[in-house]
Amino acid sequence: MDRREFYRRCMGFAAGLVSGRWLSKTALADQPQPAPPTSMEMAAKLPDLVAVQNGEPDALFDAAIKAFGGMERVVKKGQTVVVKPNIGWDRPPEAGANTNPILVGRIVEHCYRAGAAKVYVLDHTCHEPEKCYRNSGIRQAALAAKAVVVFANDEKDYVEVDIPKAKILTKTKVHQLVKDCDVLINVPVLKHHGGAGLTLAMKNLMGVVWDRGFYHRSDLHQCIAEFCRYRLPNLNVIDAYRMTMANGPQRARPEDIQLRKSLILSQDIVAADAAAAKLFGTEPEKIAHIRIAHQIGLGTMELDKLNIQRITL
Amino acid sequence: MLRGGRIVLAVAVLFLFLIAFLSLGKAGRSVGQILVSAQLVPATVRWLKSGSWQPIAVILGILGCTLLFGRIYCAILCPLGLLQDAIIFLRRRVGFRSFYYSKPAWAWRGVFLTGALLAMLLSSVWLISLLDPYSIFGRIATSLIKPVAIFAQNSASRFLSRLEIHWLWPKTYPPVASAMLWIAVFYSAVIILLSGCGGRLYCNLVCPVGTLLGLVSRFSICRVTISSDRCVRCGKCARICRAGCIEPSTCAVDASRCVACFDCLVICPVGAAVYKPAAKSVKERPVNFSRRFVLGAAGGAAVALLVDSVEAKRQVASKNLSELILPPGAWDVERFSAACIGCGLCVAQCPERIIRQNGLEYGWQGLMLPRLEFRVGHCAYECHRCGQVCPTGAIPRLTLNEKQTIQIGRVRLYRRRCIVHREHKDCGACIEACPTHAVYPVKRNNIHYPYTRLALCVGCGACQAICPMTPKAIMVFAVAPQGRAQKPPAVSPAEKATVSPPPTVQEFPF
Repeated sequence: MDRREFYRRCMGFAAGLVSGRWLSKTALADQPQPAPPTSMEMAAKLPDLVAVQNGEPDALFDAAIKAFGGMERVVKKGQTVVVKPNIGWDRPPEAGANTNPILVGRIVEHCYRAGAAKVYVLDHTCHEPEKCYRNSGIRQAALAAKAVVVFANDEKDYVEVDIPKAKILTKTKVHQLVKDCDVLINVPVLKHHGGAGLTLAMKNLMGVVWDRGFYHRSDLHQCIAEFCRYRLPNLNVIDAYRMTMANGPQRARPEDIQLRKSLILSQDIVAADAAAAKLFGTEPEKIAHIRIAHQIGLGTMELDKLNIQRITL
Repeated sequence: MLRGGRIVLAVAVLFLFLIAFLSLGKAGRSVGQILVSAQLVPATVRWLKSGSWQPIAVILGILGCTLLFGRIYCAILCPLGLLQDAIIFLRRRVGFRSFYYSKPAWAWRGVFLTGALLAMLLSSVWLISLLDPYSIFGRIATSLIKPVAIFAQNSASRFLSRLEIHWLWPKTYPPVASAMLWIAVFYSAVIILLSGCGGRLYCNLVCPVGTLLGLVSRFSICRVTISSDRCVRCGKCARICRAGCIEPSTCAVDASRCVACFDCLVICPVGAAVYKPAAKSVKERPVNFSRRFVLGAAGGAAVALLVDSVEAKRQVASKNLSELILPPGAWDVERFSAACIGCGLCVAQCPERIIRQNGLEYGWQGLMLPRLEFRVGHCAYECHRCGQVCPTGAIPRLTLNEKQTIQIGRVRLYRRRCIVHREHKDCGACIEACPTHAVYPVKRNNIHYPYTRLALCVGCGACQAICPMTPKAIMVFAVAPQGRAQKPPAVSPAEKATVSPPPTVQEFPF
């Protein structure tokens, strides 16, 4: 062996050491990586909706996204992602009022793993934003996963957009980042809602607009459905780890919270909401915005027509 | 060394006061609590109104310290004194280096101290709150400095966000009545004028704390003295003295006016000025002190009695009393205005920005009195900060649980304005916002109609703040005196027994 050969072997050995060390540090190193699906595979095998139960939030999401075909199905290399959880209330994770922080952190990790250039986490909160982000645990979890955590309670960050074919919500102010991002991942928490019945994926999108009062005074359910005409999220992940069964959305008693340990994942927002409604124990037709969204063709609430994968861990 | 130490402490304490009033993080709250409890007038008011022993310790501590060391409180703890020192520093920077000796103004000092003290003992704290240095600083900080600082922070935050740096978060402005802004501007102008022209003129002419401590520091053990043997009559000490208390021809230092800045110690070229325990032979010889002070005191007493007689007839303007919602624990206007010195710390610290100080809309008795306004926010259910920081106990220190059972107002729903009752469409904003379920839904035909139960209402205003209608379909009206709210009923054991926990793993219902 000459000197050059020796150097090459040393570099190779060092590179092997470093990458092995790095891989062993990342949490997903143990997971077998799914090969990116080909379009044939997509048409044939991959499900429209995945429902997982009996696990911790991160394990639930890992199983769901794997069954769905991998995060690469949603996030492509170099894209900007906005993860929109429910951070609306100054309540701790046990209260079930906000999305589970472990789930949010895991989703951010998967986005980066799939090659995302930047992942934002934001919500236009109802309570004071600093308290909501901190006490829900979401700020900490998102920062740990290297997300860019942004407040969304400043009107100057919102731009007015037109909503095509809308009857009531013809225009509204949407957060700049949500308007411009490549991928929008909607991560609501499944809750009873004293004012609207249930709050699920479509209602969670009220947290990306500025003027929610317009929805409330004009026609709440119609506006919730019509906003989806502007932009449908690229992925909907409904957190049903803790389901608020009554007295929601923010002040349920501990007795009202059911530890369901479930998760529903779909690109079809109407289907996700329909499945979540059934999981709660209500018929989807009874929730007006699900019915309206189905009627105007934003998705389908007829779950028997979909390829659903059900997983119990 | 003494002067250096004074400057370091003074800068640190002024900085900490600004942190408290700009309420920067958790440090802002705790620091604020410590600093404001070490102020003389708030401690006195707290002691008079609540009878607790802690403020007595503060009062005796400050007086004792003054007896030992002179008016070092004025040099390092008084926020208005520190503000004046900052102005004096700037004054020196732009070239005005000299002050001059002035004769003591015992008459005026007598008027202000006696008038303020007597008024406080007889009727209310209104008069002393106008003169109290801490309260004056508080008003300037809350109504003038804070909005400017927030403007600067918001501009910086927006600029940094464009560079994708998200460290600074935009803040909302505290609600400042235009009357409060004018008051803050007035005080700032007076302080700038007085300290620009005469150094610590306010401290030695008007300030009742300064006069009281001055009466004590006449007998202080450690004091600044100028040895007439060493003195070369250069007059530098007299020119640098910000209290104007050094008479150059006789080397006399008026200990009642010396604010312990120690500038003279440093500037004296021969080391004649020293700070040390005074020899017994040094006697204070104030000119015409007794006569003038007593005359002034009489004048002050007359003013206090006049104010008292006027106040006895004065009522809070009775219109709009239903909108006069007070912070939780304030109880009612009489008790609240008897203890509130209008410093604005609660306004500065409220995280929801719902506390504002009145202008004249409730008359003179209501001027500078804080009240709650549910326009941009509501009284957060999990917050009790105003009571934690109030220096006089006008807003009492309550535990969170105690605060959550106080009813500061009652909700009223106007069904004719409510979109749900009127047009049979879901809205639910008030139901969603209510932390106690005082506003609750009744489901009919799949629509959630809001109803109210007053026993659970704490008057937080969450419903009013979020109602999308104009005019509001649901509002909170004040209750006077403040009442008690029930906590939402816990789940009864009977109910617990009937609801069996569902199995952890079930079939998916789809």
